[in-house]
Amino acid sequence: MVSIQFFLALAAILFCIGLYGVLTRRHLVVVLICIELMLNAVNINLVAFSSIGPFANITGQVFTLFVITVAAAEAAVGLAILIALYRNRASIDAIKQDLLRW
Amino acid sequence: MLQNAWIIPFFPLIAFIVLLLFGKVLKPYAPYVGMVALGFSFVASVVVLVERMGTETFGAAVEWITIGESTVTMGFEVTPLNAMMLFVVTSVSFLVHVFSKQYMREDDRIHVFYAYLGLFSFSMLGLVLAPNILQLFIFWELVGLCSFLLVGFWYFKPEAAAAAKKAFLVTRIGDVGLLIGLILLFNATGSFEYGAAFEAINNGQVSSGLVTAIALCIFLGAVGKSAQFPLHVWLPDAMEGPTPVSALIHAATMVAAGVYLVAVMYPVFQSSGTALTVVAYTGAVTAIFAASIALVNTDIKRILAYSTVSQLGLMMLALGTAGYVAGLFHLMTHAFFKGLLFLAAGSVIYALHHRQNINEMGGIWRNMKVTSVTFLIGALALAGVFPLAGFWSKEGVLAAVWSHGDPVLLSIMIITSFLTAFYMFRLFFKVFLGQFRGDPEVSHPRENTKWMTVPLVTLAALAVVAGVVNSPLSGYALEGFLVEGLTLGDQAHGGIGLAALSLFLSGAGILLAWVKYGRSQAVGTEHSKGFIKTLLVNKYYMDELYEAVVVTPVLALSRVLQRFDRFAVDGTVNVVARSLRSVGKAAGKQHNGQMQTYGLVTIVGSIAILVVAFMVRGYFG
Amino acid sequence: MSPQTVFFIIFSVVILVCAVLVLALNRISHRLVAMAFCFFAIAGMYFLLGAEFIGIIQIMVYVGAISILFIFGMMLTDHRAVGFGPERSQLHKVFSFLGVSTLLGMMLYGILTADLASSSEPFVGSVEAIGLELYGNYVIAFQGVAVLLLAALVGAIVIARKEAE
Repeated sequence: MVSIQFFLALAAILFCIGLYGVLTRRHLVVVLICIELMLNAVNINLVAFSSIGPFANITGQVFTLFVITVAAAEAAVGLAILIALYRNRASIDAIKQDLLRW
Repeated sequence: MLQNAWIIPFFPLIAFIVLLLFGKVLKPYAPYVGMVALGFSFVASVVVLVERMGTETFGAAVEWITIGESTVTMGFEVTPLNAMMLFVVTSVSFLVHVFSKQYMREDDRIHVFYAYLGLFSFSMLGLVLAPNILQLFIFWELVGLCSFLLVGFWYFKPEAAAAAKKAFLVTRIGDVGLLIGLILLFNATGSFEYGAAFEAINNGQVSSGLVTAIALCIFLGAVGKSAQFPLHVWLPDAMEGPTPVSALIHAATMVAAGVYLVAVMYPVFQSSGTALTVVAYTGAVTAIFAASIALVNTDIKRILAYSTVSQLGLMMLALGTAGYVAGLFHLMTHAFFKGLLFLAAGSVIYALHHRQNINEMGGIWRNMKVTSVTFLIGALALAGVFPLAGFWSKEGVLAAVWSHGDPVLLSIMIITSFLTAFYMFRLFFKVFLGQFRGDPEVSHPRENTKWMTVPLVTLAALAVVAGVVNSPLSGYALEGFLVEGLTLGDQAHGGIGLAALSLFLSGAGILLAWVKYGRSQAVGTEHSKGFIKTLLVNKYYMDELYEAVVVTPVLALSRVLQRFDRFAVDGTVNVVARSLRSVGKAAGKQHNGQMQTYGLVTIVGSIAILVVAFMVRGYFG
Repeated sequence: MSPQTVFFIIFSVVILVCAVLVLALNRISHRLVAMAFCFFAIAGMYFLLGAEFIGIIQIMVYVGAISILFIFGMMLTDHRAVGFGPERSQLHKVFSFLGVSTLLGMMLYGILTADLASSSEPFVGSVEAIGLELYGNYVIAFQGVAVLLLAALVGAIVIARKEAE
């Protein structure tokens, strides 16, 4: 079996790619996608520990289910916000959204 | 009444506070507020004076500060000297208040003026009543402050503002001397109280060198306040203030404070022959120095100012030559006739719409009889003509100098007497006799109202009779009153010979003035342009000397320090400020409202913390 | 090389390439396709790890539901735009890259130096075990997540609805 370190390293790389995307992409839908990527990286970690970790047990998979649920909810609400935003400001460019300033 | 003497300064203080708070509302009545307050003070001081003649010295004090073993008290004291000073100050101050009502009528800030006058009177009266030198010092500084405010009352005139500044700064030199002196005195004797301090000095607890140092430091304060040479330069410039203020400063309050200080500290001076000699010579030099400048000056108020400086010099001379009573007697009579002269001059200036050059006056006698007559009385008194007040007091000074026996001092005294008579009558002839030479617009000045003339007449009466109190006619009553409780040497009395000498000098001065300025009515301006004249017109170049020796180097030093301050200190501060501002600007730029920027800052910050933790503690702690 | 290793390498490559493509592609629809493939490969990774139930859920939720959701989101917004106006300053990207690579470096260092004993055979999480756990230890969390989903459903509808005139 493949050593657990490789799974963890894969998850870390995936997480970092997602993080970089969140910080730099300007299309807000892409930002949301990158958040999903980060969540998936976490899921890989959880499942890897659950299967071949030093203390393998079922809890990690249960948590993965929770994470997926939360991610689904987050994606739904996030996209709803995006649609409302686009309707009001006619843009989903992250740079143009500077409401936080005020 | 003696135990309630403390109330005398508080009437003017109340007037000051009332005018300060409600001045705007009370503006038309401000003069009455001041007059009523000073009237009460005057009545009270008359009562105190009369009562004091019958009883003992009264003093009362409350504990103020206790430092270790020593206790500083605040209170008041009614000695003969105080009682006399109270009378002089309140009477002159009251008359000045009355006079000012008319003189300052058109001024928009008359309520402020009366408020300052009240504060001035309060300070001087408090100074006189003080039972210890620390309290005296407090009021001494208050007097200085008030003179600053009043001399600079017309602060919108640059000369007035400069004069006020000069008065404040020059007297400050003396004040520092006084402060050093009283600290030395306290250090040496352990007390600020006059009685305790003098006792310690008389018992020989203080080395003679130290006593001299203390006396000279205190005398430095008196030199500043009483405008003695070489700190006299502020007084003529102080003429920029309103004329009633000049009268008050010159007659009763500010300059009298210096002489009063020497008188009240007289036991210290008596213990040091050197100090007395310094006092005498300073007075003598001042007297002849100022009198000679007065010979050529052309500003009516400045001539009187130099005359005041000269007369104060005579008082110091008398005090320095053991003529304690003579000096104080001259202080008193001088207060009356110099107050009179200034108020009369003020009357003339007011009638001529604030013109002060005597070359543009003349012939006023015909139009302003009361002013002219009272001015003549004042001039005669100042010149020392029998039987006016100045005759008796000047003769006392002359007697003191004569019995002291120093030929230099005596000759200076004689010359000064002569010069005094001469310059006073030069002034009189040029202003009141002859033809009017000034602006035709004001060629027919009218006599002023009763508000001005009544104080003049009152002061004139005082100038006539005040001399009697220390004359053979009253058996030297003032001397008997003043020397009580003091151990003084015999007070010298002039005989018939000295009186004749004094009269001769006055007569000669008046006659010379008549020959030079009175007889030929047409003489308008002096023509001689000799070296001495130039020297005198420029006041011995004292102002220029100070400018070169003190002002310029100080200014140069200040400029260097300012450079240092601006470039080194400010530069450092500015660098700090600018760097902070640029940090702020850079940080502010990050605050652009974009979540990705915020996210980046947050993530990078967290990572930085992680990196630091990692480097410090290793990966798993 | 064992078959697991081969599959691990294949799935890893697909995951990372697709993730990079999500960031690198121009058109938003292409990015969505890359994302779907990425999720699909992750599901494969779960199967490899013996977590079949999670893998199926991953395919159903991510590849099925969320991808479709994103496609709708894309279509309802600005899906034609290829680029946006003026670029942001390069500094932002440089700092992001530096920060993220530092984080990655630290994580990789930690992972690769950690002494983790991994079991040779994967622990198989059966559906039964997960169900027992969910309705046993985690029943409250399970109910909470149900409420969360309901709230998200209502919230999403309310937010995205056209505002009443």
